[in-house]
Amino acid sequence: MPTSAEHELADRLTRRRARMMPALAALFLAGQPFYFARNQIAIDTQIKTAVWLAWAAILLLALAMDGGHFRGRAVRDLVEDEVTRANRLRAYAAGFWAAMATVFGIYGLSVFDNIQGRESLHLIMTFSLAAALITFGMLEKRALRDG
Amino acid sequence: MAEGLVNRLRDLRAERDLTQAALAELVGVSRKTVNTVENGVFVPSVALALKLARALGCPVETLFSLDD
Repeated sequence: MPTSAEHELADRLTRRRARMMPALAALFLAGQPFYFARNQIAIDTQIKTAVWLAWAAILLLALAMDGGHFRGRAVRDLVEDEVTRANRLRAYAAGFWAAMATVFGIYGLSVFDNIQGRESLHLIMTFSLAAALITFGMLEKRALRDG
Repeated sequence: MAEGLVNRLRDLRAERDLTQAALAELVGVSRKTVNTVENGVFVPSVALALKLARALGCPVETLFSLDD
């Protein structure tokens, strides 16, 4: 059975994660103009793509991986409780629907503008990942709210 | 709250003079779990419902019942 100290640590980690997820999503979205700024910022497209991909992979791992690593099994089990697992599944669902909405949007836009395959993938990944992170953070915050 | 499910966790916990944190420690779950079950935000698994009932010393039907 986890000790009081482990419970307190798990609570702190859970609160921190709930705050971090929407903040990371906001940062991710805020960085998009740099990716789409053509010929305005002197950074090679391949470097921009590599940086964006690495950033997206880190966020995806942050969403998918259990919390409380390196803190012991008891803390990890508390951080990854039933509620968190259910919230993560709902966040994945939100990401899926955001991806579908983005696909519809891209199809609509493609009637008026020529959208490249890489740009389409970028948009789908960006909006679905951001939606999943924001949903997870909000659900976790709601779960922590008293009353 | 899940439709039709009555949850008496808050009342029974209060009757036993337990805080959410104290009950969470007794059951071995996070305080967040107890909080969400009490608020009806989360419907627990059968295993968790049984653990909560055991910690409070009551049958699970006392803790959760159908509103009919």
